[in-house]
Amino acid sequence: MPWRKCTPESSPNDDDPGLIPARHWLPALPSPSGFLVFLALLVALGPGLPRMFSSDGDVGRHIRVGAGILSEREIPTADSLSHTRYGSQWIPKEWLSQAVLAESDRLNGLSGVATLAAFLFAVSVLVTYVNATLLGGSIGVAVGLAATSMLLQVVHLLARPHLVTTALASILLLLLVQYRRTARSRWVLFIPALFVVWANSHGGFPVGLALLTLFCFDTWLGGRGPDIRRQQWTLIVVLALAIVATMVNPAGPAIWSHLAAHLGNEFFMGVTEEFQSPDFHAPWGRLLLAVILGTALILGTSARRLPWLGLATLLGTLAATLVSARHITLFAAVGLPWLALLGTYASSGGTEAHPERPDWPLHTLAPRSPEISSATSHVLPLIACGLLVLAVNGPFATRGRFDSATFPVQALRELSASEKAGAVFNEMEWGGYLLYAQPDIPVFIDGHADFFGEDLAREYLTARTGGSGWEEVLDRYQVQWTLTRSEAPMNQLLGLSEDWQLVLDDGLAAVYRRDDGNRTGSEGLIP
Amino acid sequence: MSPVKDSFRRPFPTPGTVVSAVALAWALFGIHLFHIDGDVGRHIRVGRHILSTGEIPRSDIFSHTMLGEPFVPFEWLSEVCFAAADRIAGLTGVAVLSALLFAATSLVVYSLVRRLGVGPLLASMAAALSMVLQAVHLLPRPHLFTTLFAAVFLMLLETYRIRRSVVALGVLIPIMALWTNLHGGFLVGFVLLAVYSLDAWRPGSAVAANRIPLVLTAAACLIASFLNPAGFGVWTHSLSYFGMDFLVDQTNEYQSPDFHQLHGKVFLVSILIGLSLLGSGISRAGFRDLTLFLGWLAAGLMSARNIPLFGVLAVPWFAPWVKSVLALSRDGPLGPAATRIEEFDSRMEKVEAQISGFIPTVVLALILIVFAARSGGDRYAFEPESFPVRAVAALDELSLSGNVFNEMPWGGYLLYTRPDIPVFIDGQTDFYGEDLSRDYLRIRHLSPGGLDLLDDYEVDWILTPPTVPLSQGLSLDSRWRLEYEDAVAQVYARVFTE
Repeated sequence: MPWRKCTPESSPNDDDPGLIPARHWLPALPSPSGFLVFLALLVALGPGLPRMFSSDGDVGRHIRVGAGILSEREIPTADSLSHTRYGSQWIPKEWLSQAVLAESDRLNGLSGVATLAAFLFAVSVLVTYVNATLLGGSIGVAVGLAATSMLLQVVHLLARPHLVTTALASILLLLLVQYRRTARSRWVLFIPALFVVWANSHGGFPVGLALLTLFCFDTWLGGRGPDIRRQQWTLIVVLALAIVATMVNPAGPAIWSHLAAHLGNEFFMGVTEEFQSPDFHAPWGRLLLAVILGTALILGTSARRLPWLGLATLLGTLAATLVSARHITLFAAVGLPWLALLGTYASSGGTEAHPERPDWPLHTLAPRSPEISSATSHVLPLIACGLLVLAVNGPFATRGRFDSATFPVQALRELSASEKAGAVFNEMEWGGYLLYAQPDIPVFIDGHADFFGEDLAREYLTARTGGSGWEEVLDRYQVQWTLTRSEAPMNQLLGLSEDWQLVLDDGLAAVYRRDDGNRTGSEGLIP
Repeated sequence: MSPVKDSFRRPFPTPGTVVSAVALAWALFGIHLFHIDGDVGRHIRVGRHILSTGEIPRSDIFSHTMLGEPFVPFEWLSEVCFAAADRIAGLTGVAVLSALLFAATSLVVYSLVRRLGVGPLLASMAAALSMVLQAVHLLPRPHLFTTLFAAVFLMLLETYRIRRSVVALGVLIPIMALWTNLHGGFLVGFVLLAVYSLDAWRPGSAVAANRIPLVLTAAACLIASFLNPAGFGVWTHSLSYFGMDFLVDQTNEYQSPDFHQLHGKVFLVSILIGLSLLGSGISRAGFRDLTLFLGWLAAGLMSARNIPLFGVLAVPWFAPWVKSVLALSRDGPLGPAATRIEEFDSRMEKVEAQISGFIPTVVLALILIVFAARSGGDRYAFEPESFPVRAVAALDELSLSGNVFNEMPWGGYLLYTRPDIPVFIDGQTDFYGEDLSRDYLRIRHLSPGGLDLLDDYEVDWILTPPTVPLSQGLSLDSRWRLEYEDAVAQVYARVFTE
């Protein structure tokens, strides 16, 4: 037997909680985990790579901030990248990941950044697979869930700090599941350290605390006895230490109030695309819909019930995804693996004649090997992964660059220095790209909406959409030139105005410059 | 003793009738039915035309952009109903008709859940949740007939399944004939017939004997669906919605629900309740309840306008699922609470049998309606904060003539208040088509060439909100002059030069 089938009758207290040595028949076959890692890298560095730099310019801002940290050896706490909020205080909640992104960029440009993102993506997929096996899934079920998780995570595969949250959340789940199954403290020993890294890398660390809290509750609901009591107190201590660990960052406890203010701001949640609810008409939305329906089908037809902990995690991450599409990665990495508890047995038992279906408490799961593994089964995937990374980062590779079909690459190239002089009004999605490509130009706004604030974001939208008072906004910030999408309503108004002149319009970007021969200000323009 | 006399002797309404009375009161007093949607104006206008001429229009007479183009009158009967209600009591009558449909649906849902073998307490809770979900899209429009008829269809199919009542099946046929003339959502009836037929045709099905009657009924319903002015055309028209990607994407109610909004949060809670019950019940879900839950969950996630159908066709199953969870909890820490709920429900069941009188409910409903009619006032009128009420009232003084370009949601309002003005477009986007809708958006959003389209359509005056890009563009364009302005609307007129 290469691996042991997990059954409810299996002993919960077998010796090694982790891996059971498997007989290495067909050792040359690539291991499932190695295959998944290769697949994840292939997806991220193949079709995923151009997408990383075609739909999102924020990576440009992150690299720019990180480059500043690396060169100045100082974490900035005030803005120096925009002309609208110059000098304003800001919370460097992602400084660590920004520094790492900048270092990747320094080593090999955007290809290096993409490779880092692909690595984090692959870690999430791999750990999802391991979690699915630890939660009782057969290799087939675990691979299926990891592949589904990968497809969902691709939806938000951007070279940004949130990848750290997805990876760390799945690792945290692994540690907690192992602890609940084995009761060995070594699995939770490093959780506070993990939170220190997390709180300095991305603002998504409250997800980890929520997960930790759920596991705490689970131990308190799990009965009595000295063993369970020890687990209860261990997890409470770990939770307390984790909370303290989140405050070990340049902003200290202020990071919490900053996050609460941002996430509680309905305006930002309403206008920021990735915070909006999923669009189920889009292809990725249909994929998510299929996964939701599949989840419901498994829940309804499985011969076993999901323990409350699994149900709470699954539904909690699903609810977060439905509220904000960007949480789809958490649903994929932390919620989906729980279906492994049911997936293996969905097609057996629980017939109409014997309808009752039992629960499946976590601590009764038998230990099992994550896969058929041997040293040789990892060789092939490792070679393949190495070749793939080399192909993207080799001396002749030039794939990592911002897409000129979605970013104003050509327009910025054609503009003369005088045409780019003075304060700019830029398309918000292009702010990060502008910071990356033209570090000498302070932007009007970029994707860092929580820093720029609601008032400025509203002014930006008013001007960009040609709302009432659009020209006052340009006057207030003494904007001298604009760089927005050609189809932006503001451009039609600028074209009608006598105070502005069209500099160029290449079909993607339109640049207007204030006509110095005319007055500035709104008086006299609108009769 | 006859049921009516019996009802007089029992002066207390049942929990089900209380649910429907609450729904009626909520619709009449708790929700502003004429807050955002002007489409009811178009429906009343079409209905008025049918009532006054005795003819069902087969081509457009309401716009200057599509004048004379053929259209499928797939909602003509409900439009007549709304126009008749408007003729009797103005928009108050329309509101009362809508509220009655809403209340009737809630009553049917309650009865359906009771028929599923659940006690009055859980049935009331399921009906209340269903009611809240229906309220998400509670607008005085023909789709209310679909929500009601979907609930009726499900109840009759379940009645047939439980009691093998052929009458219940037979009633479906005239209902389908009626439904086809009321709203394009009659397809839902065929979906339900398909689910129950598949359930019967499953290998090892406990209701295999229902196969032939169900298939025959479906065939008869299919024939009945052709009994409408457009015949088979109503099918092609209703199915064509599935191919209108652009219009579906642009129409607010066809878009996926926004879970940041209150209606989205209610739907989210319902989804989580449903999934929790599915995952924690003592027994596995059955074929028809699981299929209906999954199907309407998908429909609700795809288009927010389907949330009421989720409320009517999926939520009723929550009640038996709760029973399943309670059965499981009997031996657990929640056992005493579960037992108390079950005991309370069985007591309620006995009480319900003693008080089942409907006359008090009818009297209560009449009191509510009379009170609504007397106190309604501005409540049953197009809201001046959303519609160009003052601007339209000022049109006569402006002495404008020629073709108008109007804000789309205001098209129905214009048709209702100014039947003499053919609109540019209104909410009937399936009729106006993709090309005109794209042009409308190009003009409104001031896309490149948008202002020139006003010349192409020979627009002479414009009725637009002051907040949209078009308004800013017109203010900078010397070809247009601002004639009227308030907080909601502006009127621009073309400047003619020699």
